[in-house]
Amino acid sequence: MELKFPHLCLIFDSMISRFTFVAIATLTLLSSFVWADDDKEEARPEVRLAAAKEVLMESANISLLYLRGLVCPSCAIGVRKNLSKMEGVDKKRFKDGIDMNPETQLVTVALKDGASLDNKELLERVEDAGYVLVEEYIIHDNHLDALQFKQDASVRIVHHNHTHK
Amino acid sequence: MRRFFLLLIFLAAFSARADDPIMNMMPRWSGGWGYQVHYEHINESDLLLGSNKLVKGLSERVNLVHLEGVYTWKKEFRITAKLPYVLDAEREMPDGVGGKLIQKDRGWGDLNLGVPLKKYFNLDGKSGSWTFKPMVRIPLSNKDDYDFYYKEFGGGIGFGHEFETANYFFGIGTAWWIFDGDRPAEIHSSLDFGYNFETKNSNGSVFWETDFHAEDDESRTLGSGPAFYFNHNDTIHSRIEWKHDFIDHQGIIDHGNGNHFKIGIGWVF
Repeated sequence: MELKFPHLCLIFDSMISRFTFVAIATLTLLSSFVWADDDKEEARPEVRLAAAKEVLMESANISLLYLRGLVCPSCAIGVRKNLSKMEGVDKKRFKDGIDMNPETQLVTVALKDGASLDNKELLERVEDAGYVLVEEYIIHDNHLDALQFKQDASVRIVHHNHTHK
Repeated sequence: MRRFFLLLIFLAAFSARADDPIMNMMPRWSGGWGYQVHYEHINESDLLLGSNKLVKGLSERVNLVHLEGVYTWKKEFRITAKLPYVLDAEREMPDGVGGKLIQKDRGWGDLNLGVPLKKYFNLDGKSGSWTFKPMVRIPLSNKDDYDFYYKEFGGGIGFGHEFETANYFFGIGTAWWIFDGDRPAEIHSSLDFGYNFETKNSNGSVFWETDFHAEDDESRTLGSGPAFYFNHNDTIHSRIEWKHDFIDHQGIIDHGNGNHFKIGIGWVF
């Protein structure tokens, strides 16, 4: 069967088409600056760290993760699907063992007694779900510490002294 | 008037969402797949030539079902398929002697296959994607006196950009289509704003969506209206939307000034 597409040449001939193309290109670039929520209170590091400390003080047997960009619960369903399959996750707690907070971008993973998560697998599963695993938080001597993840799954311990009222 | 029209084009072009299953946002994870069913009712109340009503009281009513599926190979690479089935389409046309001729259509529409390629980005408090989508349209039945679908082979490319924060959604997109036959080339653009909310165990969004459709025969339509999306349990998702054609200009005699109502349910795994 022969495909002719006789209107191909007309696509950019039309004034409407050309104007639409230019408008879309311009506005698409501009849109990146719309609603840049860098100043949004919940997205500020000190707010996230305060929320992390609160969660860790209230809950036992959890792994608390910061996933950059986790703001849309429906888009992040894959995070729950991927992480709930990991060895050691207590699926009876939260929703399949995973609680996600799009305001603070914190993900709480419920763990079975004595269980821990494999860092390499954790990184891969988060990346596979479309997000970036930045830190895991722990409480040490009543201070909040962060284990910052590198691409090779090694971690660097960072002591956070931020407080937020 | 020209300035007003250019403004409308500009606003319409400002939007453009890829309009993919499932509910356009899933699955974002590798190996994810899903399907959805939409029921759509369209009622176009006038027969137009240009922006003028050619004959009063001649309408077109269509009931159709859309079957759609998606598979995410890698998070940057999806395959989508959309298959519409016209349950019942009926239009009234002038019979040339002062009366009206009623024409009916029923059956499969054109199969639409797409390969959305996505580039995601994750920022602190903000996430989104850029989309490039090649598409083909494949007719599944022969042409008739009255066809709601084009029933011509077509090729298209789409571009989209969307991002959201915990509370807001913004999406723009556009798609160009050309066809192998008489059908004029088309441009679809969309602009969507949304507000995201959470319930105790789930989440949803309220949108205001605007679509602009232009054809190479000088036809152009601007429709806009609200939409509501809800995530029931991570697997089942539903969506309801309504749009009204606020501007309708037909380059050839065709029905216009329509209302579009759509309700759908989708499953994602």
